[in-house]
Amino acid sequence: MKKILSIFLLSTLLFGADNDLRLESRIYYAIAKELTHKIKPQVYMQSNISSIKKFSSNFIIVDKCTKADIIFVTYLKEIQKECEGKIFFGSRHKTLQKEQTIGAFFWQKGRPNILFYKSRLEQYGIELNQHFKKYIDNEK
Amino acid sequence: MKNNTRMLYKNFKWLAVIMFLMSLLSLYVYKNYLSTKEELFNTIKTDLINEKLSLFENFSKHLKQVHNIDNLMHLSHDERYDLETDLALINDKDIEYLYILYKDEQDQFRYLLDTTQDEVERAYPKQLFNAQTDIWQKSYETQHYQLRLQNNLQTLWITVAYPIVHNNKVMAVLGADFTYDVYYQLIQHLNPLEDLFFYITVFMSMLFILSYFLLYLYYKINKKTYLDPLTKIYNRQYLHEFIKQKSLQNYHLMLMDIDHFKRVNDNYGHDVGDDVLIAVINELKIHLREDDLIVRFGGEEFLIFISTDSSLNIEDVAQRLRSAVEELSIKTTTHIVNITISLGVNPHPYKARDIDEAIKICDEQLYIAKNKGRNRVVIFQDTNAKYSTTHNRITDIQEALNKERILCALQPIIETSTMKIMKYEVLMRMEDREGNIIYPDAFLPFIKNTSLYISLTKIILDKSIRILQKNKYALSINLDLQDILNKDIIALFKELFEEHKDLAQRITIEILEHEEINDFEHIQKNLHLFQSLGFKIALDDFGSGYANFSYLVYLNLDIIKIDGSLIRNIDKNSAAQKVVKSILFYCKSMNIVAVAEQVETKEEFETLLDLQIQYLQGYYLGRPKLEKKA
Repeated sequence: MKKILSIFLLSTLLFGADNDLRLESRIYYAIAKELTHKIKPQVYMQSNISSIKKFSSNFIIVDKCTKADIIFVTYLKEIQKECEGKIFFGSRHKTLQKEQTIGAFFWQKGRPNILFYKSRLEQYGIELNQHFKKYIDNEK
Repeated sequence: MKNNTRMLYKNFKWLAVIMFLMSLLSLYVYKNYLSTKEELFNTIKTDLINEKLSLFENFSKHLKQVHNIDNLMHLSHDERYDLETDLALINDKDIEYLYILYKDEQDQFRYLLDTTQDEVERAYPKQLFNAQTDIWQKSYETQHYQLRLQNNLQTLWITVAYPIVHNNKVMAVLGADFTYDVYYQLIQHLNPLEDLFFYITVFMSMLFILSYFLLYLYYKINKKTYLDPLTKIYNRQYLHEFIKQKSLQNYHLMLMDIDHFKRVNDNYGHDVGDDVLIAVINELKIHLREDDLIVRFGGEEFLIFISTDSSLNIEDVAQRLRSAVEELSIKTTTHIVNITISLGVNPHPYKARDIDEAIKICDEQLYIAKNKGRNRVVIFQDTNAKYSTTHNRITDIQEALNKERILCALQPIIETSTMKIMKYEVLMRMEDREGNIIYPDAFLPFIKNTSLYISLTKIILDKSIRILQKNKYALSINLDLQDILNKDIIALFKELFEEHKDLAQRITIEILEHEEINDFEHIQKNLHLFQSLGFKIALDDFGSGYANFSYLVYLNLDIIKIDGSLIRNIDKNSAAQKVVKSILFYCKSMNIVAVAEQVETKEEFETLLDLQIQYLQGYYLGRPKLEKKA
């Protein structure tokens, strides 16, 4: 009985973890779609983002940043020069230190956070729809 | 075996009830435990939060003292560091994250202070805060602290938003995210107990389900035990269960017998016989109501319980059943068979001492119905109770025996060649207290297999001996087929006649039987024993019911008595004449003496004389005469 219960709990946790990744992938997709205006945006990841990797059906993952509509950055290290001018979006808050990064999605204090810098959005000429307005930091 | 099954059933029933109560009890305890646990958590939560709230209040006062509260948004790096150090002092293991937010001019929440040490988790000064719940806004609006259980966040338990108020204006909100640690610690202590209650409840519930499953299995098996496999109606074994559950007061009782069913089996085979049984039952079911019950009581005998109803006339019901079967044309695989039924009805079975007596009353009426020619209904009349049923019937017979009210009636048997009486048939009668003469059919069935039956037999034999000693003629004495097999009866005959072989030679034993013989060997052996004592053996009622030609083949008989059903109206019935003629021919060839009984008219008598029968008996030749009382 206990074994059965344990298996049930374990599978719930596993599926629970999967659900978190699926949710995260959806958030990334909503952001990418909003920023690129593409139904199936081509995505380049500076390093693997597990949620996108696992639930990638909405994306076209490309192996070169030059082919990408949007680049997800994880670190502050430089991206190839050929890719400058592309849309950069961070998966950590720290990535916002990079001038090209127009926003980031990250976990902090157990909560998911989305942040866009207004000045950078303007620089790229991107206007977000109403749903994303509350995530725009007007002072940056 | 039956008692064991009943005991088992009772135990299952009690087990199921006990298990049900135990399951309810354990469920109640488990539920109570859960609500107590919940209450405990709430109390701890309230205490914990209250304790922290007082610390938050102190910090709020401290903040106002050490800093210009109106200028919170413009803290220098050092001021921020100092305040974060102060704020961290009220942090402990119960709080995971402690921070202060403020609202900027565009109503966006931003971090003012954050005591978090981890670099990834720590927010930058003035970092935009994604307010995913409304507690922050509400604390601003209400100036009261707000709580939110963080069900969606895996690491946090509760978040508190505590407003820092100055001059009736909220200047900032202190945020505290409580960890699950307290909760987990408690859970770890309480879990074993919860597990125990849970497993007890599960175990009890499983036992409860198991006991009901066993009960269900018992009913399933029992139903099979109680059902007759051929007709799919209840069998005799079910009677006891039925009587235990129902009162006889709610029913009329009938005993039904299919007329001449043996002939169907003999003539068409048992498969057709089975088809007939099924067809008759199906027909009866159409005419019975849901509350009525039909039980296969014996081979072709069925008990029918008719639910009482003020508008119901039991005789009408019985007649309806009888005529329904009479009109039924049964199409079997090979033949079309027409059949009739006889019914003995006891309208008030509850007046009997028990079900056996109630059935016996039905049986008596059925017997009468059969004797009257079958295909009829005989209803037991309460007014005749003294003749056929009283609670004291056996006592009455015993009293009659003690007071010498058991009598013999002698009916003459005439030899046709001389027209002289050669023999008398000894017929038993009982005189009741009022001097009414009771026929044996009305009292003998009640004392079968009792010592009283042996005593009555002895009286008749004693009287017969005295008659033989006083007269020269011979006597015929009736014995039931079962008597021939009864050791006590055999012993009685041996005792009385071993020393009176001369008298035994003047006695003919007439065998009556009401059921089919299966063990010819045993009967023949006993008949031989009687014949060795000197008795002659006659077969009564030959040509009716069970007494048929196979008996002549298997039993060594001296005399056969041709049944009255063949003799009645023989003068008008040429078929009966032919049958009697062939019987006589057979008897002659086998050296068996033939007697025709129930000769009641001159025409019958003359026809039988023409057929050259040797002996005659019947009202036309002489009615039974009661012996004179001493």
